[in-house]
Amino acid sequence: MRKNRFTNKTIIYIFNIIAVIVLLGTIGIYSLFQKTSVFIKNTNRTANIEYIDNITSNVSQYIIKKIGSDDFHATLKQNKTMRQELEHTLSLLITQRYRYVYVVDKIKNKDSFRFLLDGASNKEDKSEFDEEYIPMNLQKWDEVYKTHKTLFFKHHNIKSLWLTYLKPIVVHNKVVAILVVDFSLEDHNRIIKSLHKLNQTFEIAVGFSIFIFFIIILFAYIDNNRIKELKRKSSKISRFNTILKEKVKEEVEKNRQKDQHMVQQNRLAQMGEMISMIAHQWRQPLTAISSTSSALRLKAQFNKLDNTTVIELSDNISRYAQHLSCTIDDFREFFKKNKDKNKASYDELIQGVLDIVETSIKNKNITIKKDFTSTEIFCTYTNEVKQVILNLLKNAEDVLLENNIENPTITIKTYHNILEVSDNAGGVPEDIIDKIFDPYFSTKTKKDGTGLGLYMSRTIIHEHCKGELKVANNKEGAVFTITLPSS
Amino acid sequence: MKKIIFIIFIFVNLYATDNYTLKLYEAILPKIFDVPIKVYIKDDIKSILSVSREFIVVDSCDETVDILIGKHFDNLPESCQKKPVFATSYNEYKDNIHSFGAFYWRKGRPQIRFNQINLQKYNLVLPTELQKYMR
Repeated sequence: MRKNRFTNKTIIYIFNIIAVIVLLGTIGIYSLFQKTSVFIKNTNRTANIEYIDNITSNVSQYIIKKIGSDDFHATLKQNKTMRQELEHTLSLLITQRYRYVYVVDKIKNKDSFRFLLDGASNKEDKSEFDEEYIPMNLQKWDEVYKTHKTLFFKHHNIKSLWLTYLKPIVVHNKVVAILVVDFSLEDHNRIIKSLHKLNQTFEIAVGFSIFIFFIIILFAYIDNNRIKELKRKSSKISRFNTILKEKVKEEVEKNRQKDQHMVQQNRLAQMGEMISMIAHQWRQPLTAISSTSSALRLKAQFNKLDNTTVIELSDNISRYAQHLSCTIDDFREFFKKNKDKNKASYDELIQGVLDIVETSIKNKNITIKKDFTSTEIFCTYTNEVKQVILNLLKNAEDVLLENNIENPTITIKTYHNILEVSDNAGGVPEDIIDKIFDPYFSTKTKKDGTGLGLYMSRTIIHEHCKGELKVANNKEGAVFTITLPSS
Repeated sequence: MKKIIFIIFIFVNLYATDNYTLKLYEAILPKIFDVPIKVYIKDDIKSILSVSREFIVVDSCDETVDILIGKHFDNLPESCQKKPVFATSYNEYKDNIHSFGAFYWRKGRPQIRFNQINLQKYNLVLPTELQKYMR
């Protein structure tokens, strides 16, 4: 399986870094905005001051030129027309931005000023000529008189004014009056409000990014815990898997040993049966040998033994001995394990089994019916199939004898690729028919059954020969069907 | 929403101004007259001073009134005509022969004035901290 390029941990790290970058970025932008905001305010103020500085320079020059003396108070007191004309000039400067424009001079020996000219046209706002006036921040106004320098300052306690600009009107190197311009707060507030709105937006953005930052941190923390828990569980599962593997290995080994034991048991059981069968097979030739040797002895006792008889009887004994030897060879061949598959027909396979078992079965008065129509040739493990057929025949024999069936009959039938071994013993009870192929399951009571015969038979047919072994009941008894794959 | 904020802003400012005016009157006149001061007011500040414990604001002027506060005092009853006046405009302060002092706004700045002659005329004594406003 291809390994994931990004692990969960890496993704969390990336998210954390992004969160930190977003947070720092937003704070950085916010800080930059704060600086820019101050810069805008300063620039706005400087631009305003520079602008008004230029205008008031011209205006003050105009006033000086118009009045033509250094005693503004006296000249203007006498000349009302000039006063009106100059006040009209000042009124032209009044806009939404410049709320009040007026000229004052300091009253001698007093901490107050008096109005000389006032650009206000509104009656409520307009001061009278010579009206005493005590401005706030008096020391700054005095400073203008002392330093001869333009000065401006911001208001904090006058609600309608932003800042006041004081321009000294200097004649013969002496400050004779001050041209005052009061900046409206209303105009300034427009910029402040815009900046404030922007500031609020940034504050929300900063707040939001801090919130997002903490959310991401929280999720990262939760996810980290989840991964830890996952790792812990995964390690536990891995530990369980190892234990399970060992258990499975142990069980497989046990099963293997059990299987070996079962095979061994089955083999021993079959051997026992074989010995019984050999005994049957040998009984007749042995009896014949015994009879021949007795005949030989009697003839010798009564001096009736001639050469021809000796040769004939010894040939008989020799033939019987040969028959015994053949029987042993057949049994040896039968139990020899095939390493390779061989070709054989059902006829050949069945005949191979009947050669061994037929005599034994017939001696028990059991009729063997044969109905062979199959012509198929199978490429299979012939000895193993023979063992299965033998097992089926022996089972049929056992059940027929156990149930004391009248006219016991075993029918062997072949057609196509099917071989049927049936009996007339009444069949397998329905409640156990599904279990008869299970290991250690046996119904044999009189004879000790291992319960492995059918299990091994099924294993041979199904797993070795890739065929099928089934059981069913017909009217008379059980029918075992072997189906081998056609070669 | 903007309108509501603007109205709140205006009211807060108005309240702040009114509060400032009231504080100023409470800081000046009780130092010159015995409290509560019975006043006849002809100005917008009438509603402001009405809430003060230092002042008894009357609707009609009579001889029991201590001072008149405001501007344009026309058609006053005779018993009231010579009462000391505390003007709320420069013109009233300058033109009214009974005005002993004034508080008004000029170029957005508060202006306080006291007339020494009229103070003496009404035997009013100005406390030290207000002496600087004497003209």
